Amino acid sequence: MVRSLTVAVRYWAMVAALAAAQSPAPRAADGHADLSGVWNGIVANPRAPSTDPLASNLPSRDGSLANYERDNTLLRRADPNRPLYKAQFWEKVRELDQSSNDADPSYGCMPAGVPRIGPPDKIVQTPKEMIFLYVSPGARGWGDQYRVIPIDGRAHTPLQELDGTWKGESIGRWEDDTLVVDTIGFNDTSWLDYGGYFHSENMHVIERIRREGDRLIWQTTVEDPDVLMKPWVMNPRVQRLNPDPKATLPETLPCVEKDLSHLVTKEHH
Amino acid sequence: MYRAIAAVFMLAGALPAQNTDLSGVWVATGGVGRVDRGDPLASNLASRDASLLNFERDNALMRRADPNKPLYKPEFWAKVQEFDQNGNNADPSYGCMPGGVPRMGAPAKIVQTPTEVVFLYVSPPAQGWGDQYRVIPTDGRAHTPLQELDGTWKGESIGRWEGDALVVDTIGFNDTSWLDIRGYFHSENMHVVERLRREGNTLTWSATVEDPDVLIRPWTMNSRVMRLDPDPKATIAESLPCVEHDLSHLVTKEHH
Repeated sequence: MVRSLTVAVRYWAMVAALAAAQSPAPRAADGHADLSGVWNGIVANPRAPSTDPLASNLPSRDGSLANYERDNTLLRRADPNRPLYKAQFWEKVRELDQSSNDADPSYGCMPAGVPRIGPPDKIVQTPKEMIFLYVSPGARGWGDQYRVIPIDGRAHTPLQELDGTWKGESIGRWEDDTLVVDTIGFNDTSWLDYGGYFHSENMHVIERIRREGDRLIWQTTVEDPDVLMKPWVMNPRVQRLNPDPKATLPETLPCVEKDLSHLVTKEHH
Repeated sequence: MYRAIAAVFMLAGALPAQNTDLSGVWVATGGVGRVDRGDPLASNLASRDASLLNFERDNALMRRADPNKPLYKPEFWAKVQEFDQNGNNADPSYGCMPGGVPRMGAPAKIVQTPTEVVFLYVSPPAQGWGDQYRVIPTDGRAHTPLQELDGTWKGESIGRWEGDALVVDTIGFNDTSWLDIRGYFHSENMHVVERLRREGNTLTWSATVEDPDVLIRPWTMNSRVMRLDPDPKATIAESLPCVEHDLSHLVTKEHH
């Protein structure tokens, strides 16, 4: 009896969780899904070993900050989902990886660029454009970052007319309730992630962002036929809505390059 | 009859207030490189012929000659002078730090919703401050008490509408940022009030700095006038990231 009650409770908890996950996104005034808000909600109890799928945002052995830096790097290096480079670039990727402290642009206070910058911490939505605001991780100190993404139906500027930049030229469109952000026009300086994952100026990034209840799901594909054998589908990331309607973003600490000259090894840890 | 009028007034009261639309890309000059001598916007490109050619030299000279300066209490005069003479080392913006409020000036683009206004900045390449943004709530909230705020470069900004003007009230600063070149430091108790008023397709930004700890009286900065980019698809340029390399090659300490 007790056992079946437990099973029943678990069952209903699961049903409730599924219902919450599938609840439709609220609507903006123009009828599109409302993605606006501060998306920096964190796991409710980060110290507890968690079955919460959002714990994947804090990848460490016990879901805590204490072991975050070590475990995060290990987990990322062990992740089988990697961009697959053409054979002639394997040596280059390895060399960049082993010289990361010199070669990784993010380590010299450069911007992360798209897609490395990841999902936004805050979205401001109007019928004509989406504004993505980012709070850089303190450890890397990239300072403020923003993106202005028109959703007014315009087309991309021809690639050869674009100066390659860190953020590229982003154009958004709605596909049902999913915001699809299409970006071209990159420099070839930014990396996709640690590990020497460089890219060419012909990179094409497609981000798909949708809301399920109080969660924002960011899924990104990197196409770069110059250097990759096939498009790289990055691991999706899930952000939780900050429930405080007056929630603010913290100011990002500016990047200070001083550490670089004190480093004795070249590889990221 | 009276009832009908009253009903109209009640209805109007129930509708959300229609605020001035400040949204858009706001450019400091009318064109690229050169503006007409008679154009009041030429004041934004301070050089002898309103061209970029002599901008760097002339701009610093004109700023130094500008009689509108913050008035420091006498006990801080030596400190300001020392900072000024060591500008290349002491000025935080020269070491890739953010400009901060109010030094970052007027926004290049404004995004407006019923509850907040977002200011986006394009940093001047010569100073290379990278992306900067400010999120300014206009939902009627009050400031966090000053003693609960960590001092930051941008501080805590709260906006409100006064007629056609957006008034942005900011407290909660660090004491690291400067108000301008020339050693103009400030305290953590600084209070900045910015006013943005749109007239037709121009936007006037003005700011007053109150800092009774160090200033004799509030400093009203020179206002800046910007023109709306008429292209509805106008975009703003990506700011170049700041590179600190130059610092070690400089042979003098003073800004030019």
